[in-house]
Amino acid sequence: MIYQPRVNEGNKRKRRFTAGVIFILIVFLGIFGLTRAGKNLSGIAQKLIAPIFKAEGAFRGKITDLISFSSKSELLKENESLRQELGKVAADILDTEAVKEENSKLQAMLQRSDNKKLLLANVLSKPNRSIYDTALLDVGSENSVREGMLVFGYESVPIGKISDVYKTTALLKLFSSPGEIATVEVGEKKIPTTAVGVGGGNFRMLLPKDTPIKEGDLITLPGMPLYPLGTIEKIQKSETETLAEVFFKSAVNIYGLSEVFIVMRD
Amino acid sequence: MKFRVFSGILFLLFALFLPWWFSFFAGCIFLLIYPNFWELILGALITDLTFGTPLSRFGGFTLALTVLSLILFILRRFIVRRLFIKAPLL
Repeated sequence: MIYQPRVNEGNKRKRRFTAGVIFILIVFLGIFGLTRAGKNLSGIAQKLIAPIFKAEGAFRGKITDLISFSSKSELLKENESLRQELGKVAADILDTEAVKEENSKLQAMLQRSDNKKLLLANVLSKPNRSIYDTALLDVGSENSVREGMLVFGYESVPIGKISDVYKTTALLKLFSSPGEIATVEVGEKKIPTTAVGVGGGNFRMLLPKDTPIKEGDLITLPGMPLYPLGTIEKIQKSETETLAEVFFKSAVNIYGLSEVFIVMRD
Repeated sequence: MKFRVFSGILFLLFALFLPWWFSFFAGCIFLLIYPNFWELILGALITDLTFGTPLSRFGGFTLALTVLSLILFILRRFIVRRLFIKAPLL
């Protein structure tokens, strides 16, 4: 006896429909992903999502206030340790201010004044939320933000550049995003080289073994004024290799930032 | 059906508010449970449209997560059949 397989027309149609949808999706994704034709779509998505992130930020703040309540003795202890820390930082700031003043005087003498204009931006979404290691900022073309503008973690520590600008939002691409290459200068001798981002605010550089550098040396962006990226954390040298692997970390904890500064004019 | 809708909403919330690797892992689990978990692609597309920027590690492609989720969506049929998992579980 020959059994005819029962063809379920409904299932067949469903499968064809799914295959068709997937095919159309692949074609669209190819076009949008490679040509950036989907930038308008991104603008719409960001317009819809930005208010949600803003509300989340406000809600998170309130929750943190509620959770962070602790006992009186613990608060006193914390207060005392913070006071001590503040005293140390105040002394450091005095020192830094003196150096800054001296620096600006020298720059003025050399006609290289540092009169940069900064724009404060709130971080709506931190970089670890996406695979792209980008942060969403609450300023956009409405605030005269342009692609390629430098972004500081504090007022003088560069962390990345603006990669995409929409009407009310902008995307910050970090220097430390995995695979991203930044031109830097290392140490007192300002040795020019490239640093490759490895994610999480970390960088890796390859330099000849006999390069005069040591742990703690400053790494800056090239040019004037000096913008410090971080300091050398580790130098790995192997007997068989001609190059030394140098690791450094951004001077700013990028995941802890709630505000950043965009350099509008340098 | 209620669980299906709840899972979809939960996943979209994960995609918006939690680190990408967590949402991705949760999405894979939901995909194993439900045969047509379209929310995985939708969540990935929202993430890509919101945060996507040309990066050298993705060859300048800005919809990497969407493509990855689409591949997983297609592969799911074969993987589940091989693993002898009867879907849907719920």
